Amino acid sequence: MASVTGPVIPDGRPVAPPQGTASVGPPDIARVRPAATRAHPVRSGRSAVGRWWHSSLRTRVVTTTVLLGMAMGALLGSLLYQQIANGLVAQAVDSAQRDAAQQVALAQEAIDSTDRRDDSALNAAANDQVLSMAGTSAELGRQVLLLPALDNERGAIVQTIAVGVSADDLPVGLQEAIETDPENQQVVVVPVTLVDREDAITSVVVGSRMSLLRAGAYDLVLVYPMVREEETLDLVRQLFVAAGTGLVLLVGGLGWLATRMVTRPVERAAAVSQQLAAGHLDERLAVEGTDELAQLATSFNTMADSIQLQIRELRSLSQLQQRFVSDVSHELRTPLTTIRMAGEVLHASREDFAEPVARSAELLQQELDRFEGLLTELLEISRFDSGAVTVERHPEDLVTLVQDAVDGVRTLASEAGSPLEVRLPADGRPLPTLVDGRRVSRVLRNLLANAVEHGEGRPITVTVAATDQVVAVSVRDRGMGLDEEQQARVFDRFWRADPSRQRRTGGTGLGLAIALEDARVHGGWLQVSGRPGEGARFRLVLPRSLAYVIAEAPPLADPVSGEPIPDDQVPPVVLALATREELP
Amino acid sequence: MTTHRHRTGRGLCALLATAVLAGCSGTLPTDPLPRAGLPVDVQPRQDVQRVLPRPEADASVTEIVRGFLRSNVGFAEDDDVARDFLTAALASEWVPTSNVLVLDGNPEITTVEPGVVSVTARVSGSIDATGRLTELPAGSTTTETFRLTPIDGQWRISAFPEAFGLWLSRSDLDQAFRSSTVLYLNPTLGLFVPDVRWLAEGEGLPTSLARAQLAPVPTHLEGAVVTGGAGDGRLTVAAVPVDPETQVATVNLQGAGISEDAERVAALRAQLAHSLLALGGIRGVDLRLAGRSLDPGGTVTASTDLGYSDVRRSVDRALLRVQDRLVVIDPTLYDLRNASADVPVDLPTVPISWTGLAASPSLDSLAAVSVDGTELWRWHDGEESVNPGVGDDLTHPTFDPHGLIWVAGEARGGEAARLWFVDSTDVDAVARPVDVPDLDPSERVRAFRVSPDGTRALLVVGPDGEEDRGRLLVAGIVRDAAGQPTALAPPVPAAPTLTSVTAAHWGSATELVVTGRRAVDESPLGFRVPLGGWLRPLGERQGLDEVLAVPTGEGYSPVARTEDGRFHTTEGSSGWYDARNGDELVIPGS
Repeated sequence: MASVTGPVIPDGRPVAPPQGTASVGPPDIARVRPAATRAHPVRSGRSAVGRWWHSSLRTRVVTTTVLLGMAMGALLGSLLYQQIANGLVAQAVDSAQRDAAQQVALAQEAIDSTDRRDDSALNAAANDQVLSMAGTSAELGRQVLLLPALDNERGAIVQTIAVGVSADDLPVGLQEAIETDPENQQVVVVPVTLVDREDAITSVVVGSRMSLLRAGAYDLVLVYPMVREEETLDLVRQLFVAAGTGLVLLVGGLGWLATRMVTRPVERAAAVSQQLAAGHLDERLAVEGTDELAQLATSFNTMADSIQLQIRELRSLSQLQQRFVSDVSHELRTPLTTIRMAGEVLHASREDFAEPVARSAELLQQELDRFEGLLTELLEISRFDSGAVTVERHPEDLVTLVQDAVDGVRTLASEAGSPLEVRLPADGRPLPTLVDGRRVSRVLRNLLANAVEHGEGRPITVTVAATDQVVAVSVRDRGMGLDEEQQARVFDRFWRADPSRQRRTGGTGLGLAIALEDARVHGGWLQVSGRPGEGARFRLVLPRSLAYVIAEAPPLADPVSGEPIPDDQVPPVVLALATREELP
Repeated sequence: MTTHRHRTGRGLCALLATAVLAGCSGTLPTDPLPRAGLPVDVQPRQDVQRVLPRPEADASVTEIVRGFLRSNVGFAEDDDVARDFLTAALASEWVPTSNVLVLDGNPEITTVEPGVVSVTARVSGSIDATGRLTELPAGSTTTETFRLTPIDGQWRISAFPEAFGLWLSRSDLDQAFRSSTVLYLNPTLGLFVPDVRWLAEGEGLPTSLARAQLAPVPTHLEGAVVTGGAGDGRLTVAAVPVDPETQVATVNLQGAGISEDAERVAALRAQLAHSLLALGGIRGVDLRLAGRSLDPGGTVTASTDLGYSDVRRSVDRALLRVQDRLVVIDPTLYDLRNASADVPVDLPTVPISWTGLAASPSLDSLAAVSVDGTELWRWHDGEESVNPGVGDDLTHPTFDPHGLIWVAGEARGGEAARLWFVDSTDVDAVARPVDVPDLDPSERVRAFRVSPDGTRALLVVGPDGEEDRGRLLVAGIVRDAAGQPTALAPPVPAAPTLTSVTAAHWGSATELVVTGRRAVDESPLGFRVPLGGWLRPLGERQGLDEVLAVPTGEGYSPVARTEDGRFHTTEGSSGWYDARNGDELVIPGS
């Protein structure tokens, strides 16, 4: 849909004062991105956690190891804790059942052995028996509850006796269970609130059926508070927490150590890679030992050697080509001057020649003009390639530049039948911008000529939009338009959308390439968009100050809605500070 | 693929979180649903159950009272039918063992007025709350009134006669009660002193016995015996359970200061263990104080050395006096023949002016009183001496296990009954008096014998000058810390059914052999008198003068002396064998 080209990010070379001349160095293979300061948080990118997470392999490994260690430790600890808790309860239940069986047998024997059967004696005996069975406190043993069974039909000759536990706290359903199955103990494990304590204690409650003389069936409920079990469990929990903390620290430490063993060579490799990327092609990794990391270092060094060799070859070849172009252009200028002088003599005397000869003289003069223009542009291109471009920035009113450029092609547009429309910001104020006016005018002229060339006689619209930092100039035609492949190649040198088509403006095929380079040396972007049959739009976006460059390609469509950004709006941009050396 | 991985990850996280939360909840897991535990093996012991009739519908007041008295025997059973005849309030208060009357024959029940019934019954004995049986004279009767109240249209007894406990026939008594022995101690000689009690039969018997054992010493033995049970010691639970498998009775005691008193603990251990082991069905006694066993081994058995032993006295030789000559005989033989002369015994001749001869167990000391009852003659290892002027109307002397010679009589001048004791091993020793202040001043002591355990004495007392109105008493001999007698405890009557007692001897520590008459007897008879038991007459013998007892270890053999100067041994269940002639038969140590 759209083709974009990146700006030239100034390297660390000294920057000329605003009114001075800035030179752009030769194109390096690796350009160091300047220390960026976001002008405004236009695009957040990853979240802070995500950036932290991706910032370091060691961080990820240690964090992952610690988290997994914690998770596994917690899981295993929980399982063990549960097992221990269940074991404690099972042991307590078993012990309680055995004790209850013995206690109930003893109580039954004792009650059977009483020698007095009147109510007071029976109550006294039952009371003494219950007291003798009960521990002195929750920590020291069982609590006892003796109460008439649900199916007792002899009346409550012996009153309900409770020691240490209230009859109201009898677990629900226990007496019913005893009534259903009086031959066996009935056991529950529930929290029970004891008389001498405020908080409930998980207890084993064992209910058994007894037969009291004259009084009939009674339920003897023995409550075994698991105070010691809870204390044991508390101790186990504390030990688990301590051991888990130690284990996590150990795992984290081991992870850190292991990661460090791996990441230190990787960090060294990364540092060397950065040095290589910065152009220090002689940097190499130290090879120690014969392990995998040593193999990696060897392979890395081999790769660096190979890259260094290829870069040197490419650089020398590129320089050779550039020098060839430059030399050819310069060498052609001298004979061209001679030929032109002769041509001008012939052209001036053409009226003295016969008609065919006069026509040839005119043709010769036209082609000499084209040839000279081609040589001029070739020299300009070679200057870009050699990095010998000088940018002379001056405060210029971009509105004026636009209007001048439009005026320059108005005649040509009229000949092509394309009306020219200029849309300026509504306030009508000038847009002072620190640019090389000659180059910007050339860019605009190229874009307008290109629009007239491909506008097919339809209207051409030039729109200017600006913010305090950025100015955007869009040139839109309604011609045949460009498909995606064509958009990708439109800035290539000597490229034509339709080679068979007759040129109207006599272009050399280098105009857009030069325009692109002019935009880049200003720290701006030149972008093309459009669809086949709907015309093409070229948008020039430039920073208005020397302090900034536009770091990333301005979007052609709204990132949220996906709608194309109107020409009268400045697209959202990511501004980066120019190199510090460039700052005033 | 990615979605699946995310789902798996979320599942693992949820599982982990659940496990962690569940695992670290900090509380023990609970199980509120009742589930069956161990079998409850505490079914009540199946004793012999008497099928006693319950109150019938619309029964009359007399039927209710009769039914109640008839069902008294089942008072100790779980299904206590007798209480069904009572109102609920009375049933809850009724303490059957507080007082037991032993009836002779069926009671006569008559309605005095609506709701009031009079019952008349012949009574042969009574048992008080401590279990002490007192035989009542033949022909004793009681008439009591029962009050009844209609409950839901049915008559029920609402008020007992005063001090009512149980009314039982003799046969019911034998079923529902058992003669048991409470033990006290004679620490000087290391002997148990038995005291017979009638306690309710059944599973509560060990409890009753232990409770009786822990009660204070009876008045007539105060100061004479020692017990560890008196004071604030009591059963922690009013029960002494006996494990049906191990047959170990557990006595759990509590009481301040018991554990610090080692002598008391030893006494308690000896008394409780020995008395309970004698019950039968108990092989061991676990004596606990505040839940902790007093014995390192945990259980006292019959083989455990308790520091005390039962009184076991037997003799294999006795002295037969003919005129002034003494012959050693074997009293255990039916014909009282002379003993073998394997061990020669040096014996003096005893002039006929001395009578009532007594001998020490080893025959090295002899004592007698003058025919006029004013002097005491003594012989020890060939030395003779006379204690003149001890008193008047001196009884026949007697030796006690402490080595003292006792004699009773009338104090000179004061004409009060008095006792004297003198060291048997010192012929020059002076007789020391012991007053008997609890005797009626008009009564005189006609016989005085010390029990084999040395703590009690029987006294035959009667009005001065009325030889045929003697009665039998038993009293403890109060001694000081050195074992010296200081007084006689208030005596209690024994065998009150005997209207005339002429002689009495200790057959064993719990039984006397008495010569006397009941109201129905025309001539003197010999009687076995168990202390706390029923009187049992020996066979009749014409001209009976006195019945002696020859100790045989567990029991004794009666030997009768008739007025014609002959001695008779028992023959069959009630016959007498004419053994040999003689003036006196001297049983050593009595």
